[in-house]
Amino acid sequence: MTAVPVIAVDVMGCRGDVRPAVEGAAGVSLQTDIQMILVGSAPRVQATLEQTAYNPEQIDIVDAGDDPLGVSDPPDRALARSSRCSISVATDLVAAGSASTLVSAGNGPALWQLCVSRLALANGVRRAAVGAVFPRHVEEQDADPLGLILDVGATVRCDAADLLQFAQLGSAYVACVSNVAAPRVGLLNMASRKEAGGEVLTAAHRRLENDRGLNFTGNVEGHELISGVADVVVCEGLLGNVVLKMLHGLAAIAVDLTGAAARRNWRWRAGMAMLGSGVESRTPMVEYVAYAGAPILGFSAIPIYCDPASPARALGNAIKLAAKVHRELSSGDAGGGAQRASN
Amino acid sequence: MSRRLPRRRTFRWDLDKTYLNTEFESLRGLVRIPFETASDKRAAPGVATVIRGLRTSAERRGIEVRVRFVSGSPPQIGKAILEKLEMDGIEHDGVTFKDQLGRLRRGKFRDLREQVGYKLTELLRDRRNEPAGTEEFLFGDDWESDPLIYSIYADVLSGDVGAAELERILRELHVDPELAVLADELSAHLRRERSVRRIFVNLARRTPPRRLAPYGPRLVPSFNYLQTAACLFDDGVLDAPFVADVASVMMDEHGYDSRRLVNSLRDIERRKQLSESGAAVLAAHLSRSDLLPSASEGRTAWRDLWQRAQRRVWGGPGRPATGKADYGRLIPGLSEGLAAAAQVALD
Repeated sequence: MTAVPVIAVDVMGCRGDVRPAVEGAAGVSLQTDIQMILVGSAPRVQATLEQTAYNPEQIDIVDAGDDPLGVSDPPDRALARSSRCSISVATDLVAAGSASTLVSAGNGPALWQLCVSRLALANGVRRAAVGAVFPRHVEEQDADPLGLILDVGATVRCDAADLLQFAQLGSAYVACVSNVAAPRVGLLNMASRKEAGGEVLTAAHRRLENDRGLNFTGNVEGHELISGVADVVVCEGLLGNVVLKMLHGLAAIAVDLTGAAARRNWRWRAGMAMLGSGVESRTPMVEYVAYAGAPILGFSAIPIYCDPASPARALGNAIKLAAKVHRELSSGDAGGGAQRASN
Repeated sequence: MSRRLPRRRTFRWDLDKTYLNTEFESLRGLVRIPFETASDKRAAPGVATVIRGLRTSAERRGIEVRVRFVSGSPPQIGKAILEKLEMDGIEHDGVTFKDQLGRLRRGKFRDLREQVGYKLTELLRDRRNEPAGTEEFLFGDDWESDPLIYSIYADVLSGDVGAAELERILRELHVDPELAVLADELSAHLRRERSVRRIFVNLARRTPPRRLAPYGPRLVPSFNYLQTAACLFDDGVLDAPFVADVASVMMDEHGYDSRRLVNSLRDIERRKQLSESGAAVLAAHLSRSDLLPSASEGRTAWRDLWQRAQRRVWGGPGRPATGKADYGRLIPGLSEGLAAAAQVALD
């Protein structure tokens, strides 16, 4: 039997507001058997907890002061203020084995640097990667509406071996999270031809094609990204980061346009009202950032990063996701895919 | 400050959702209740151990003990409940059931679901049998109105709620006027003394503890019986080995692990219901019994000895437990809910 996962939750991440993370964790404590360590300002966490329904048997609190790292603070600050910085204390709990993994909605670059400096790489992994989820079109009712793209900024320039390993890590992760036995893997490129994109991408294509453990579907072009042709899209950090931010921008524009249309005249407003529940059901697709956590793959634990604007429900989902990944991977082979790459 | 040991200590318990994990939130559970035998009934983890421990701890100090149950259940299911208590080794001094059939016959439909008038009058009636100086510990849950009933009872006994205020409270709560008059009569003949030391509320519904703050520091919201046992230990009325027994039962019979137990103790300590020194002593004791990890062991070995020495004489350091409930904050919201509940019963 797999041990119950213990998730360290950086509760100061949501721009210093402890409520979303504490309420999210409290909800999880009533629905699951997951153990959580809430890291942050203990008095504020306790005060918030006592105002919500929770199960104390699954929640512990570790004090980390009341001066959270800002979202735009330099990551070095997290390393310098180790004992008084929630994101740093949470990472240390994982490194010390007191927690299985962590969830944070704080400073992304700081979380990455802390993982690099405090957590060991999984067996056989050369480089860790930062993943991100993106919305995509799916035909099947029960298919996951979110795809995984990696790397989105950890390794700016990659070689073919890195890309192969990212594909293996991403494939193993999606297989466990989405219950897709053989996730489709695509290589983000400028054309569908094998030779497109230069030397590194051509070599990466060849290696991906030859890896029998992967369900490689070929190159994925920009316009195909959201059409659902692949469950996992791999690319170097620079390109992934640009794509991710462009998707965020487009999502924000879509939300703005809808709001502006509704304000413009009463007919459109009436139309929007009639579409109300339909629009609401698709909201997670447009505001997907706030509904899904993104994994950092390649370390001995898989931290989940959430957007700082995440509501309680999103943080609760992220905690469940972290626990699910830990359970699945600790019962199977966490770095199995990566191990093959190193051989 | 030292506390003189009382001559008698009475523990008053609610049954459903406090002693028993009765499932009356679902129709299926409700339908099943009348057909349940004693062995079908499930006690809350550790509760029987707490009751047995309270008796033994008091009797060791020469204190006479009474254990009374007041239930909102009808006497028709009493046989199974009495058998269950016997099966669990609970020595008690009586169980009061609610005569629902009698109320129906008298056309008292509103009283079927209303608990305040019923329980309060039963508590006051039974109090007449207690000698002066008897101290009481009350145990209920957050499912119906136990926190309110127990608080009114405690404040009537202490004299913090006088006849006029009691009448106003019961009127606001839409208590049957006959029961309100009875409560007034019963309370008029009681000696005024601060008898209720603590009210424990089992958070079966997971009510956020802060919502119970208006009931004052005398009331302890508790998520499980390890938390309750720890507070009773802190109050000097339950000996440490019985707290260990509760932990042991929860682990052996109910699937708890040491992390869940540690988290429970830390939670009740953070909520300031368990003193830091009490928590340290307990942690050390539970570690020695191999129930908790040894990390906390030895933290306050000297304090352990000092504290135990104190307990023999004083019966525990005690936390502030006096303070009238804030009825002004409690009743406007509650009266609507109780009126609605009575209306449902009428419909």
